[in-house]
Amino acid sequence: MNELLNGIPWGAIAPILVLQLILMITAFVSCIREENTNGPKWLWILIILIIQLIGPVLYFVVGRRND
Amino acid sequence: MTQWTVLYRKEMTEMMRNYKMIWIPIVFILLGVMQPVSSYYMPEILDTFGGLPDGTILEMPTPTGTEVLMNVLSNYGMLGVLILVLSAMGVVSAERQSGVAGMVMIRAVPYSSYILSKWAGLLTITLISLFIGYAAAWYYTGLLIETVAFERIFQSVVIYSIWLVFVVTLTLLFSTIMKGNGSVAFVSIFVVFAISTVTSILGKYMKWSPATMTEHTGQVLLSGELDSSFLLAFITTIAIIIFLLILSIQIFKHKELLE
Repeated sequence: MNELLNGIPWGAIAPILVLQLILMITAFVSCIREENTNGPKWLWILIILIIQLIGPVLYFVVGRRND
Repeated sequence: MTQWTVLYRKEMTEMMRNYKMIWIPIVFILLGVMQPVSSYYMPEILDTFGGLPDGTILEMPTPTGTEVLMNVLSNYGMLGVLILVLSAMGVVSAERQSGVAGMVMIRAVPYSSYILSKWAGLLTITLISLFIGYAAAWYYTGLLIETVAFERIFQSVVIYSIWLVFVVTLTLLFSTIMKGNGSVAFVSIFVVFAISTVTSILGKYMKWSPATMTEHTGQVLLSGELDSSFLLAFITTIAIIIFLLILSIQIFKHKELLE
């Protein structure tokens, strides 16, 4: 397991993880601040936190009411 | 002109407020970067998760840098277009329904300023996302696979951006015509893919089609040279974009006057 972890070139992978994290946090903050989401809010929060990449995108596209 | 600037600023602040300025570029970067990374690690990924029996030897040719970048652009052609259309679908229709459009138009704003500011806003987000994402893909391709000459990247992204501008303009038109967000997105995506499909089937007779821009992009990436039919396609695409804009303005004017 350790070898596997050491073999990963973090220089290349780390920016991707950071970007995914930023995306997730943005979606999370937006979801918390949104007054009425399309569907139950707790479900959206779960989707954002659990499904990588697709979750936040899905939220931004269909989860927000267009104001 | 100043009214236009004010409207454009409003458009930009709105995009910051609903986080479009953040999430669309990030998604484009991720889409662009995943391709070189996954083609670089494909042998290892198969090794670790593929469940292949021990001793299987897979001959996997490592793709060249240009091939990877072509794959990136085809990802943008599918998922990127989907995301752009879905994020642009409410641009006029939602504002009209919520009454914001009416409130703006009461101030005697020219109809053209309103539509053109919307269009400029969409253009800004589209081009920023495409350029940043593609630059990231180029950087990662250089890091992991091989360096691709900068001028080819530049030429290909400029040509490709024309296609995306066409897609976004089409979405704007449907957003002025129709009411529901969902139907705008559905019709836009349907029309875009219909144009692509018809162009690729009847390639011979469709050399003028905007969808050939994607082919020209691949051509430039591979050989660095443009096909002779590019100029024709370029001129018709620009003409169609201008026509769509004028049509949007006229339809918008007509609809606002009726209400």
